[in-house]
Amino acid sequence: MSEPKKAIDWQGVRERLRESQFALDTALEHDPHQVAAAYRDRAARLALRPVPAGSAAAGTPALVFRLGAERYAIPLQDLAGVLPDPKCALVPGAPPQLAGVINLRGEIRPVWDLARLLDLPEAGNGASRFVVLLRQGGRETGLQVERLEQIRVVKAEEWEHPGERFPYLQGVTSDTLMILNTEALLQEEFR
Amino acid sequence: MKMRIGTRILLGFGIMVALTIGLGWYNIEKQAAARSAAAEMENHDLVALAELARIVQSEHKMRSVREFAVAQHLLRRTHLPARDPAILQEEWRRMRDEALSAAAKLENDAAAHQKQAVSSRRGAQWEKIRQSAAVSHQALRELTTEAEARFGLVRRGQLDQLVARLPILERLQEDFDNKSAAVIRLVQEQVELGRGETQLGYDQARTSTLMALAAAVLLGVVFSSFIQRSITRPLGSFMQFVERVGQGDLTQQAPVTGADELSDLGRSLNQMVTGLKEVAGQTRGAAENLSSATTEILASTQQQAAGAAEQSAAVQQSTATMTEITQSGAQISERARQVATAAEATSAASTAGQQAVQSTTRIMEAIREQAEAVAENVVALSEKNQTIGEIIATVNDIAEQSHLLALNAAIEAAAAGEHGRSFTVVANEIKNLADQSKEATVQVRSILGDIQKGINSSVMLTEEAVKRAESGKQQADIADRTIRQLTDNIQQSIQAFQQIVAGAGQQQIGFEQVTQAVRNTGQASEQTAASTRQLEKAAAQVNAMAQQLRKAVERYRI
Repeated sequence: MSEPKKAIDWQGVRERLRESQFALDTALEHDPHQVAAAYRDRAARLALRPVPAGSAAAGTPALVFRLGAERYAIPLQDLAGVLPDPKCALVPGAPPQLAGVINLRGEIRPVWDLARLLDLPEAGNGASRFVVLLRQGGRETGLQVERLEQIRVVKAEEWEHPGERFPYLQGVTSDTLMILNTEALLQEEFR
Repeated sequence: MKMRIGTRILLGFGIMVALTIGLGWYNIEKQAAARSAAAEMENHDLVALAELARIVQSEHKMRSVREFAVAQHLLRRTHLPARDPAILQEEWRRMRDEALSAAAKLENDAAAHQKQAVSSRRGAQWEKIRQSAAVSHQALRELTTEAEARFGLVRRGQLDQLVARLPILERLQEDFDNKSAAVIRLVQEQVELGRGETQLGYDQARTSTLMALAAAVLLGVVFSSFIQRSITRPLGSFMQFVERVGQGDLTQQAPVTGADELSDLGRSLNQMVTGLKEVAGQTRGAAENLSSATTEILASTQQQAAGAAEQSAAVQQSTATMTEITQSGAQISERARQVATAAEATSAASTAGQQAVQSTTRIMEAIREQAEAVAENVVALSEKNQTIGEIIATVNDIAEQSHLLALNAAIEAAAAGEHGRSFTVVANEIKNLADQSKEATVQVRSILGDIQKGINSSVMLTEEAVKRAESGKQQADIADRTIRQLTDNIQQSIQAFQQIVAGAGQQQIGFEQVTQAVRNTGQASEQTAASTRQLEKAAAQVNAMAQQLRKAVERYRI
């Protein structure tokens, strides 16, 4: 500590403390101005015309999730839901891609380890925290994923078809978001 | 010669003594004869003179008696008490008889003496004396006759006759006096003659004695020269021998002949020469040794003198050095006193420092307590932070679930198709809320993270502050101990310096003593130098004497 220490401005410190105290005290109180502003904002938004679904949603809404270092997406129409923190019951004698089974509203549903399904090299490294339920005619199937990010509307111009060499991919966006073909995935498994 | 020298000398002396005795006896005899003759003459003369004197004296007495008688008679005539003239006359007559007989005797004596006269001259003189004495006798007789006649006159009282016959008496008296005087003169002449005779006799005796003496001397000379030759010849040869020895020739021997003392002397001389040779040889050797020894002594005394000079110089240096040391000792003492004074001041300062340190310690303690209180507060803050974190976790959880819910809602809405469009809005709202919650949660978490960081850093800083306070306290303790030690050291130093001052004082005394001792040594060394010089001189003298001795001994040929 070679630099000369400045004398502590206790006065300034106390001033700041007083201000923060004041802010804290008033934080939970409803400032009538803020409240009024919020109401106005809400009213404005309510007043907005709903954006036509078709024009707004000129693309395919998909759920973006993360596995390892890559981001994948599955169209919403293929999904049945998402679940946090699944505790899968291991099934003895099952293939390694099968992470286990879960009890979903009284029904037993399989959960696949998507990383193994996709033969990702980092399979089993990341902690799976979410399960993405796929709609399969009443029989949901879960896929273990790491993180759920957002629902993104993928526009048609962004969609690129990868070709036949990648059966699991429906498409790839310009920012390397891989849209999965879950049918192919599951069919592969059921084979 | 065979006879021993003593015997010879005795013989010579015997001869001389005999001669002397003979001479003496002869002389005595001669002298005795002369003396006896002289005595006889003198005796005769004296007798004659005495008789003459007696006669004259008697005559005078008679004269006085006579006049006394006259006076008595005159007195008697005046009827004064007086002696009887008759008695006086009797007395006078007696005297007269004596005188006359004496005069007769004188004559006879003169005749007798004449017969016994030593020489003819004396005899002739005696004859004259006899004749003169006879004449005087006759005169006396006439005088006395006249005197007696006067007595009768007196007796008879014929004073005028007395007076008238006085010139006759006077003439007779005068005559008698003259004749007596003539006799006396003659006797005196006789005395003179006697003296002459005596002198003559003595002269003769002397002459004969002288002759005898000459004869004796001659004899004595002959004998003694004989004896002397018998002694001095060998002595002469011894003398030559001794002279040669005296000149240094110790090689020869004395000639020894005979059996007397000289032969003994010769043998003794030979022994002496032998002894001298030995002595000379030894002396030569000793002189050599002495010479070399004195040379060594001289060299060593010169060394000693040089050493003494060096010593003196060294003593000078020592004195100077001691003076310097003394001065520096004084300076040291002065410095020590100054230091002691400074140490006392330092001691006072250290006491003040100790107090300051103690107050610092207390302050450090207070700071530490404050810092610990701050740390406690901060830790409490941290716990509150933790609580907030839990709350935020709950909120986050809610946000997550809301998100999931929103996703599920969106999925359901997509599945519902057209009927689910309004639900989609709600689901979007929920999603927005969830996103806002998440955002808020993220913000809060980041702020919480900042707060936690701040708390951590505060705790660290507080910990550091506590540590620093601790270390400060330790430093203060160390400082306190150090100051205590310093105080003790200073006390010790003060004592030490006082001891130094005392020691320096003693050292001063000691140095002064040493200086004095060095000066004494200097004086002693000066004295030593002086005595060494004297010694040198003495050694030089001894050396010179040794050289002389050597030269003296070189004389001797052995």
